[in-house]
Amino acid sequence: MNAIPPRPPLTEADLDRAFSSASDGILPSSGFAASVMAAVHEETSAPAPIPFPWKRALPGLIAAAVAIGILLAVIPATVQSAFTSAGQQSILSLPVHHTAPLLGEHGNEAIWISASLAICLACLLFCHRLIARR
Amino acid sequence: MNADVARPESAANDEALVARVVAGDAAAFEGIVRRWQSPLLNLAWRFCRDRGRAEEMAQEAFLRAFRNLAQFRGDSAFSTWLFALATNLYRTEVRRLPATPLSLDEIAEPSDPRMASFEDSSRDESLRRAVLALPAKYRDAVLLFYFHEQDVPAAARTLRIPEGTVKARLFRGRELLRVKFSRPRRASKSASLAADHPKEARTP
Repeated sequence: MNAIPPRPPLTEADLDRAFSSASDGILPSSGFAASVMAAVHEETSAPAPIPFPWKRALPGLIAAAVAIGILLAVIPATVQSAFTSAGQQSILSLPVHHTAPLLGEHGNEAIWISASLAICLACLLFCHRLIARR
Repeated sequence: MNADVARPESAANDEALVARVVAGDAAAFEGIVRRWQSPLLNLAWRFCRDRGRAEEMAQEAFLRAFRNLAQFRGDSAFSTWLFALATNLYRTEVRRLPATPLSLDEIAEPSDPRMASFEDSSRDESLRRAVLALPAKYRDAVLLFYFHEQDVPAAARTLRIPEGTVKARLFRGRELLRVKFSRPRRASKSASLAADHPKEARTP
């Protein structure tokens, strides 16, 4: 029987030899620099990205901001006034599971959710109109 | 290949080329490419051990450097900035598509140490492949340490981590390799690195 001798332990020298630049390196192919420069020139000659049309978009953005501001100001006030005018009686007369969303913390959440839904809808319609114009 | 320790005139030359490119002279970038193509390609090679892929990665590194050249402020040597940028890119690339789909234990080991010279080269190759199968933080420390001709401060600058961290990771990486290469042949899977480091073993 010819038993395989035990493997010598790994030393620093083994690592140094395996990873030294002389033993572990490649040379760039002859056309490498040229291909990099071709890619660079391609990049520089490519047309600059179209800038965002701030001038045209600004009125729309301002209008959207104002609309959102109004919505945020008006909706809670409207809901609040609806609450008080309807009176406690009608709310309390509803079953518990119906009144829950209108009361306390849940009521606030409902307002915010409906406001966000309205804003989302407005954004969608606005985007649709922009796309349809093209 | 310790390119990080650039001679003063070379560093000045780099900065002059950078200034020209930033001023709009794209052709001046060729000087940078010619000067740094070999180190960047070799660094990529160490991360993937595939010539074609290494060239692609190095080209992408140069392109990224070209795009971001205006961000080079000269706080450090140009080489430090370039190697850090390239290393980041290479790490991302090998995370996306690992250089070796094998775990540390699946790396082929030299078969018979009696075949001396063949054994040496075979073991070197096994070692290089084993380093790629190390957890990413140890792999990067080992690769950068040897890429920078065993210069810990240079490796730390490229990896943007403290020197002490590089030393610790280097130590741990070498330990893992030592364990791997001193186990009895055909070590059982139960003793695998994946078992030792289930989270780290394959996650870059």
